[in-house]
Amino acid sequence: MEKIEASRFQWVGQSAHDSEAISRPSLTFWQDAVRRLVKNRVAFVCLIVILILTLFSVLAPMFSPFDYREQHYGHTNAPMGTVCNDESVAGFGHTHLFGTDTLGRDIFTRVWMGGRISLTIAVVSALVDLILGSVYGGISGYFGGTVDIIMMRLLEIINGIPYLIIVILLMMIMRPGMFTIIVAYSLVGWIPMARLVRGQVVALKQQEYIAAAEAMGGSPWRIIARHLLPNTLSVVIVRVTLAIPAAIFSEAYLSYLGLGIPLPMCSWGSLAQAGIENFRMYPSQLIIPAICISLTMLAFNMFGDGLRDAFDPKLRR
Amino acid sequence: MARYIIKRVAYAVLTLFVLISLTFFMMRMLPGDPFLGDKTVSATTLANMNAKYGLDQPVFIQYLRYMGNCLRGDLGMSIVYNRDVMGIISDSFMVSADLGIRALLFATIMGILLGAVAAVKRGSITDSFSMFVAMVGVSVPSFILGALLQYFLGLQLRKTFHINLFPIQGWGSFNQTILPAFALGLGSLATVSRLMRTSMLDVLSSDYIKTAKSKGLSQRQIIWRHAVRNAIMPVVTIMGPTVAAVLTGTFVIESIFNIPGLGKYFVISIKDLDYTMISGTVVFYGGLLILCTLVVDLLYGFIDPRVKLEE
Amino acid sequence: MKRLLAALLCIMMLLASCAALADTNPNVGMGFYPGTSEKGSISVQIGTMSKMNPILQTYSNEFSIDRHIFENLVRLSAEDNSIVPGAAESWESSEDGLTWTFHLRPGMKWVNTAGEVVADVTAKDFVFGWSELLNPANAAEYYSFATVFKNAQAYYDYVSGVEGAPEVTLDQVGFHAVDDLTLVCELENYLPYLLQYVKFEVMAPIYQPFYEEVGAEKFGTSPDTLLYNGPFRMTDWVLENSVTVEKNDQWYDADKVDLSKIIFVKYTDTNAQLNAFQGNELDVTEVTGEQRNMLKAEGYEPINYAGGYSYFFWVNTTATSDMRSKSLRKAISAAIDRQQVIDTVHKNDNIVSPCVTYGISGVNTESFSDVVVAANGGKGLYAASADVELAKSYLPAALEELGYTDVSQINVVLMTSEGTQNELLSQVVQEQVRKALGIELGIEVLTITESRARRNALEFDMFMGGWGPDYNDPMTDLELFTTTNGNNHTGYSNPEYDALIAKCAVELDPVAREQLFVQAEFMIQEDQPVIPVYWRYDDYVVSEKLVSGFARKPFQALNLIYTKLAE
Repeated sequence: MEKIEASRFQWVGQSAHDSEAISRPSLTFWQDAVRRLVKNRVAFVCLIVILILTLFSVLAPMFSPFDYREQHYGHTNAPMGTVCNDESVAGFGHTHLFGTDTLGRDIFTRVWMGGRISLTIAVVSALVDLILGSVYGGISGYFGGTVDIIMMRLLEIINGIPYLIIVILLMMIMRPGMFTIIVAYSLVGWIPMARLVRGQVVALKQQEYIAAAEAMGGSPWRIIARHLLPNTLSVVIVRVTLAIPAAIFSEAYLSYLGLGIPLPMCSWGSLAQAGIENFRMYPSQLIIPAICISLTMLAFNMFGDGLRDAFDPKLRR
Repeated sequence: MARYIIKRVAYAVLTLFVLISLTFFMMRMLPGDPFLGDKTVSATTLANMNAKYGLDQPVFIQYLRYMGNCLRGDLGMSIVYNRDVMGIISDSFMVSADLGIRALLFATIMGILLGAVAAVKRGSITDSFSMFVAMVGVSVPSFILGALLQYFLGLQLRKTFHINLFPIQGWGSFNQTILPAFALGLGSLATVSRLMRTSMLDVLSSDYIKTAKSKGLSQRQIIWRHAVRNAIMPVVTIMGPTVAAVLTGTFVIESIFNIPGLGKYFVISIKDLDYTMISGTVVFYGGLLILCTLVVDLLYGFIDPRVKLEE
Repeated sequence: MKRLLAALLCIMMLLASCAALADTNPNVGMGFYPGTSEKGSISVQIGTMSKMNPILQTYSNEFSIDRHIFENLVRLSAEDNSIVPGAAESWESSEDGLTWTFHLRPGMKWVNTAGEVVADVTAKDFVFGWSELLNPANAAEYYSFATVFKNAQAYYDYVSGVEGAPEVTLDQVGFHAVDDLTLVCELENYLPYLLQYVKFEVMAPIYQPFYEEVGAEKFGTSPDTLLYNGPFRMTDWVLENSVTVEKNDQWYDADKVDLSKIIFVKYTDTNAQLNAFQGNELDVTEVTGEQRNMLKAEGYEPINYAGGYSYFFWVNTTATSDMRSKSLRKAISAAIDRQQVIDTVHKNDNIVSPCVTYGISGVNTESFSDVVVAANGGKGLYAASADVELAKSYLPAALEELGYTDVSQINVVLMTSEGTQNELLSQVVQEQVRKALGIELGIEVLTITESRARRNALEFDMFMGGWGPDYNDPMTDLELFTTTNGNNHTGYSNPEYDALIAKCAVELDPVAREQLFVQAEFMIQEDQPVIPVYWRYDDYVVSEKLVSGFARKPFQALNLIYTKLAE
């Protein structure tokens, strides 16, 4: 057996502290989620697509040389890339990138104008869902007992009512317009959200830190607002992301039934509906709004999936 | 168990009651009256028309009477069609149900298969493909899909390639059901397959699958006997909403493909202000949906031993 | 009075001679669209049809089917819209024109859906059909067609329980079956165009024993709850989807009927219609302007027809609306470029309205409108293109009438009933007015039911509506704008105009009477309680299976009885 020289060893000291040190930087839940979201290439691309669509919807109508409602009878149903030949309008000499519609209106401008409407409807109704749902679900879940039972039974009854019938009836009773559409969607859309939030709150309520907060004399509203809701946020955000495409779809569907927004405003749904009447002759009038709808649907859905993965601690690697 | 069922049924009945009442009063708030023609009619005629359909009574009396009739299964006479509402609904529902079941079978079977395969071969081309199909289903509105299918597979296939496979419109033969069922089912297929994929991935990473693997079971056995069976559970829970989605989708598909189903009456009767027809369709359709949800919930309890119905 | 009758008969004959012949298919033998494959059968696109009980019907589509399965006393010829014998072989009227006697064709049969003979058609069936039309329990909307008979309105009011209505029994109403083949009618008022009334589809005969057997409630709710005496019998009916009729061999003119079966199919989607036509699943279908131009480009000729409809904006002239200002109405009328509306929205052969009245014959001219145009120096009363300068010149007066200081204060909403074309039209007019006058018109899209309710209640500013003539005399259109007319949806009330129309009713000299109507047209142009826009033309295509004999024209939206098929 070979002899090992003692001089080859050296005392480096003792540090229990170092051995327990975290070698990588500590990440909060949110930092981690963002990091994983950025790593998820598909979700990231979707986010960029959403941003681009939003940006165009906000900016394109502002900078377009054409007005979304300006009719050029000189060249109706012009194909994509036609140059405007109407000297009387500001856009003379500019190109109709996506062509013009039956009334000679610039489709490029209209599509982004429609995007404004569709996205606004979708986002606002999703936010209304969020607020109504969180408040209702939060109260029901936190107080529990009789309050919970009554509120949940009420919810169950409302939930059983077929959504479409009520929306159609409402849209016909109220004056047509964006406000009506948002109200109609939100009226039934908040229910799943309320259930989700309630479920989360019930689960969280049993956590010790809530008991601690209560013990320290925190008022129920403070506990709901400061502790319970923020901790349900991740689940809720995913839900909101997925509610947006659903609203866009419903809007398109109702436009098909003739229950859309007032003229000459347009939404992606109403553009697609108008395009479908002419798609044999002028396919681009259908394809362009259809692509917008589909792209938004896809982007929001896949981004929502990505978010869910990012927030899910089980998938943490 | 029995108590749970009774409780659920009671809620279902209560929901239906609320729905009928809500519709009854909401439709009375709709502007106009059902007898508005292109030309104006005399007051005497209007009074006769109102009397014929019992609309001369105070609204609350009409409501009570309607509720009473509903309990006896009598949905009244349609104002526009001058026939029994129940008869119209039962005739047209047979068609809608036929179409709906085809679409539903297509959506669930294909959805489960696609989702399962995608999960097993995660990250492969098969996965991407099946998720692409699912995404098309999620992102294309049915009225666009239906119109495109009709034009390309119905008309152009026939004109250009002389393949007379898909009739353009109508209802009756098997071939006439293919395009509408596909167009109607694709959206639900997408939902089912995405859910199936997620749930399958969950199951595949669970311990009992690892156990099965280490026992030396074949891949096929593991997937079909253990994984798929358990992964289907969440799919069952969304069957209620899926049935609803398919039924509401029928209006669009029926009008594109000229199918004599129930869907169109929802929209037509509201637009025509055919009061009896509106409430008739709502009672029927609402009742059906509530029943479906109930059955699915109960079924779920039976399938999944982890769910206790007493809860 | 007799002179007037003579004049009116003359008008009717003129109408008969100048109307177009039955349609023929210009595309036969092209090999483009051969049509459906089943021999002897055609498939025809149709709109809403909800009832088949003839006395309860109101839709022109329903009347179109009636024409094929029921036989009234007289019918309109597919050739030229003239009155030809139907169930009545001949008829005569008394000296004073108040009593008419109809002689029925012997040997006519009622058949059931299977084509089996059930009974003979007799004069009693007409008496029963008409009395059911007047039965308030049926609440028939078009009962008023039967009120031309003596005491009929009084009977209706009495049975409806109208307060203070004197008792009248059915026997006192002016139609009686003298024997099986003789029907005597007494009229309430002198009415030279009685035949135009009895041809109307709701005036169908009903076989009483069968009606009572199935019951009034069930009658006409399925093919086997009806009996047929027309060229076809209904064999299948899927509600809101299709009606199938098959040839009735018992019909008196069955030898000349080439078709063995017609399937009327309801379409709601214009793309589906064209797809079905091009895919040979449909033989006759209406086409939109875009579709028409596409087919034309292919070399396939659509057929065009006038339904007799005049389209105008109803304008609310009452104090509730800014349209009470006559100058504003004139300004908007001058700002509308009518030809542009037609070219952009309809893309078809619609004609810019030279005057309100349309489809009516003149005394010495083919059309009454020719007289109006001649009186206006060869121009129509309403310009085809916009006159921005003229429109603007009305604005100061309009502002003064309304008490406004700026055009931005003007608040006018175009009430629009839903539908692609209506919505496009409103948008075009909105843009035209905005460009010409700087007035921002609102657009409100409503369901047809709601827009009618609002129209009747005068809760609108402007509303696009159509009006089809009921009978061939300018009165049918021009009496609309009298103060008391139930269909005057403008609130327009001008004593001078009322007096003028009252004068027309009593003027016996046809030419002088026509001049009064021309005056009325000018008065409408001056006051503009309506803003006329166009006269409507429609286009339809038929497959190469149909050769000739079919017809679409005013008063007959569809007549396919004598259609000749390709071999």
